[in-house]
Amino acid sequence: MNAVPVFDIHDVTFRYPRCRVLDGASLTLSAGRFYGLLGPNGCGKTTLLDLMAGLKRPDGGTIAFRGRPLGAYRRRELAREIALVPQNFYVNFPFSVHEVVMMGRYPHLPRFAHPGADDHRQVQNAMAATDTERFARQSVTALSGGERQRVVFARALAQNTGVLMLDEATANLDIRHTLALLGRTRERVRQNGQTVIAVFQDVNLAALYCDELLFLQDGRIVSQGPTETVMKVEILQAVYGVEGRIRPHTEYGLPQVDFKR
Amino acid sequence: MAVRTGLVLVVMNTTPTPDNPVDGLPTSANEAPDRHIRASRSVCGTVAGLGLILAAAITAAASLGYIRLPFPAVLHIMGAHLCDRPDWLAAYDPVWSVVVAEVRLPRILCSAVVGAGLAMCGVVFQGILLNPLADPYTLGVSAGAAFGAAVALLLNIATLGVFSVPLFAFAGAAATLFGVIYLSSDGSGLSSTNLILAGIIVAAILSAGLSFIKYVADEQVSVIIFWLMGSFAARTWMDVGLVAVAVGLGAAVCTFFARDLNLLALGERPAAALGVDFQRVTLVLLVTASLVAAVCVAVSGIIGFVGLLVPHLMRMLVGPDNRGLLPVSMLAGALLLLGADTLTRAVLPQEIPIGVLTALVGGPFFCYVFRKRQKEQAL
Repeated sequence: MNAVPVFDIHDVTFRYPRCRVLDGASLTLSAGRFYGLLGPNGCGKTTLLDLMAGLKRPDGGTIAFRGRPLGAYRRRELAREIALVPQNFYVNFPFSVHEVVMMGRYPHLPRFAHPGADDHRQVQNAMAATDTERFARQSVTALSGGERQRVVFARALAQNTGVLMLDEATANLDIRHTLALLGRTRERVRQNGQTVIAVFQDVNLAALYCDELLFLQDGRIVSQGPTETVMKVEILQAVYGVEGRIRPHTEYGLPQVDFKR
Repeated sequence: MAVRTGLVLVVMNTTPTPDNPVDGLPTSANEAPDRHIRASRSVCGTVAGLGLILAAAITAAASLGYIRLPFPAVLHIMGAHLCDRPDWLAAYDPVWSVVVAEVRLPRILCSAVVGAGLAMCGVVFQGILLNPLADPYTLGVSAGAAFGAAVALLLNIATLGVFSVPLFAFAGAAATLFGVIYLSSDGSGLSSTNLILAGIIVAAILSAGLSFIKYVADEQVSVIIFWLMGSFAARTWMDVGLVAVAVGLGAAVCTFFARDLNLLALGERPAAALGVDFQRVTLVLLVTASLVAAVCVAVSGIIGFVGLLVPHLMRMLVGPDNRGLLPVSMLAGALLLLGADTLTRAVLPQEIPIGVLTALVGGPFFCYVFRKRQKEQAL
């Protein structure tokens, strides 16, 4: 079972009408690990997530999901396997928070079915994990950006998929909720064997939670490996063009960067 | 009737199911199922209530008019026709039966079904275009229909008999729709901004064309203007059947995609990540709603505000979940247009074009609700 990687991506290219974003990206992700996807702005992190979630089709190369070509899955099928927390989040109508989180159960429910006890339990747990229970009856349009982001996170948790993709999912959150949600995510990786791939801007935050880091630069994965081995001054210098010094985290001993001004 | 099947389908969907309490959960965890059942009960109750009011309104409307008929007689006559028992009619003046069954009921049902159709299209358009100001005519369907009808009236085309004008109106609306879709689709598919822009551009061109037709139309101009303002006068069972089939089929399609329509509110990427084929659902719903609107316009002329107003008001009442909003809006739309038509037909001293009436009454009312809503939100 474990021999089949969750994602096996080979030489993937993708271009928008005006520019080429991905140019021969290859990577392999195994089940039950927390991956951090890092790289400068506009290097194709979001596009790579979209391709992996089946929201866009690659122009070239192959993507295999659990040993089967991604294109062979139906959309509903993928929605039961992969959840995505997007970067920007806006709901256009005043759905209640509970309704929005319940939308995470739609892929599991037949079109005209009613949510059962299990669906309600998953929604309840997801809202508890994201500290959104007290908004349950409020309209999602009345919430602040960070609160709304937590609601979307809750929806992705309620979707209860084997793969969770976070596209800067904690960008708008205060530090307490950021740590709580990432900790919760890490727990699910450890306990339920969920596979998480998360885009981070903050290298130190990524190093604190991820088992492995992937650095994306100019449309290719330039470095992938366990956090301890790829969190190197030379790699940060090459990818971001910044200088710093690596030191162990005072509590956990994980590598952290002290950036030079 | 086809409309009814669509509604019944939805009503069944919103029927609450008994949720068993889950073992080992804190009591607060069981709160959500209760709340959900309450929510679907409120939709059920609203549907049932509106359905009853609509039935009563149809009967009342059939008794009102130039000849005022007693209420029980109307019920009895309607029953006789429904149950195919001509012997029940013996007690009444034969004129009454004709007035109810051949004159009033077709017009009443026509206005109700068109109202339901326009409200349904409004829900769908607002859901797809992610814009609460969208209505069935946003993509230029009304401008296309108006242009088509005006051409038929100007050239006095009568090769297809009484169907000439409606057919031309429908053709104009359909051609406009596909023109707008063609204009607004780029490589990656349809976007709501492109659709709205393309709709505005095409509608502007068509209304210029319409002005030109009115300018050259001479004595025909009054006929054109009268048609444009909309009317249910002299509608037949044929018209009722036509709109009923169109609205019924449309309601079935929209009900089928109602849950996907909810997800469209999240935007393309999140909706797709939750398993919705965004482009396909958008296209299917857009074409369905536009064609239903086109049939409605072809049969009744251009009646504004129903498609904008009703979904808005009903969203405040039952919430934005389209599975409840669709049936409730359809019933409310039917009631509104039936009421407006009855008002102009039987209550007002002189018949006012119904399109003018809905705008005159609906507009200020909408302003009031909008203002009240804004004040509440500011608090």
